[in-house]
Amino acid sequence: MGLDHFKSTNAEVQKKPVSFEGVSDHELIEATKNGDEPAFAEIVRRYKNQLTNYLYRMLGDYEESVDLTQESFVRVFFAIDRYHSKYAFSTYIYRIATNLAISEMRRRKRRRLLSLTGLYQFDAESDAEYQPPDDRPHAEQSLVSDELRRTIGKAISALPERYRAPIILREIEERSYEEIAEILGLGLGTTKSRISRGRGILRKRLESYLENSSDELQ
Amino acid sequence: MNCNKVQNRLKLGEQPSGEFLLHARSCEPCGRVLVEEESLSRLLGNAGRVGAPADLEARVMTEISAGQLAVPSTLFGLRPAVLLPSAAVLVIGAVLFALYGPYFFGKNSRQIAGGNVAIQTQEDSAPNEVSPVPDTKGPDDPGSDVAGIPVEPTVNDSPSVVSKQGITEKKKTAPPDEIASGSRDLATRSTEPVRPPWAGQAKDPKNAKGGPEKRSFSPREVFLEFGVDAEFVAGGWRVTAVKPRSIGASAGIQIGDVLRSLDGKELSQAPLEGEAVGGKRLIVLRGGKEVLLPLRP
Repeated sequence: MGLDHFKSTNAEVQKKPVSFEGVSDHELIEATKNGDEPAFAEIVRRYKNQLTNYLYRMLGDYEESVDLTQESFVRVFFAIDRYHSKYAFSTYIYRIATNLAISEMRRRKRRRLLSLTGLYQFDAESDAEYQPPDDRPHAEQSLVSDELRRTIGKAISALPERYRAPIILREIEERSYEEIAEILGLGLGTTKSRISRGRGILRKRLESYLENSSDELQ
Repeated sequence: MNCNKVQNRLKLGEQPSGEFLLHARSCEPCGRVLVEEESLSRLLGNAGRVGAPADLEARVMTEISAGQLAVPSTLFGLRPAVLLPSAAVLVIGAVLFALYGPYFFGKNSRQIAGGNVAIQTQEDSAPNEVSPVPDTKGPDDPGSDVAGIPVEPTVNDSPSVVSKQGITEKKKTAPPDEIASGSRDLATRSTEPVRPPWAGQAKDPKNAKGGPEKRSFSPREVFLEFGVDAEFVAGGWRVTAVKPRSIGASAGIQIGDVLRSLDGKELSQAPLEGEAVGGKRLIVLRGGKEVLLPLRP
């Protein structure tokens, strides 16, 4: 009886969620290297929304972005010994996600090419944009119509590959130029240039919305 | 403050501060750019964010526990879609190499894959297998095969030749029916590289000294090579036909000419050596006079 009670108490202690508040990413990584899986679960919890959003903007497909987010974390886990703490963990995981997204985009291009030659039947439905419900409470967002949000999303997704990632990382993920350069493996000047050009393209595509927005501002 | 510098910075979506902001407020074109860029940034901020599904953590941890990657298994970073055709190409390449590779890459040897026939050259043989005495057959004689089964000499047996080292070698080839059937292993020696079956016979077979092989031809055969037909008469060969646009026709041989000599050698019914085929100076009797006709092959 006494032993059973001890066992149940011990199990409760083990199940009790460990608080990782105030623990840095590097410390979590070190803990993961030592076999602490809850530490890695905390990393997943910290970055899952950012990565999903980033990949969704890159690919325009929610299901695909969730799959690739999952894959990014799995890859990080299995290659955790190769991670060097001199880089920010966010840079590292964004880089992995970017590479996966680029691979996916190339795969889609090939598929589209095959569908043109009739060797592969491209599923038109899979290309349709999926807008998942955004439950985050945000006063400003509620004012913006779904149509505008969709238009902005499409304008970003339609950007050429080379401009899309820098624009998303800068405008949506709000990363610094240096970090974007690190993630994409580009020089600082090139990164800034791509952001500027990408914004130029978006400015043209969203011109009608900009006029309204400018009027509101003035 | 340079307007270009300010506008370039504004077009990056940066919030101006300090002197940049002062300039943007005082300069009308820069002020317009500032308003446009601010509105663009604000618009892009309205793109909204999507969140991950609530069970993503659990999914990741489950997958990690299972130790499986979500992506298709890869080898050296290559997916099966790439690997399979590559493997197929490699296998086909290996088979082709096994069949025909020795013809291209092997200098003097050939192994017929899958069969029981092995053709070995003198160079591949051990030195003691070379008989120092010509035309003698001993235990190491090539007349015996590897397995000790005696091989009957055939019409394909070529005469002994003297190599550069002064060692007499006996060239021997297996009977074609035995090669085709592959009934047993044969050790066959040859000083010449094996020619592939599609290459046909060698045009210019070489002897041990490297010169053209000496063969005998009847004079008529030689004349036919020049495009001329002739019959033997007293004093030479009288031309009975000349093929148009042949070597003989180009040289000016006419019907009725009597061919007397080729390269100084009188033409009789005796066979001519192989070199005669490449003869250059032909003397014919025409109208009672000897005329020299140069042959240009």
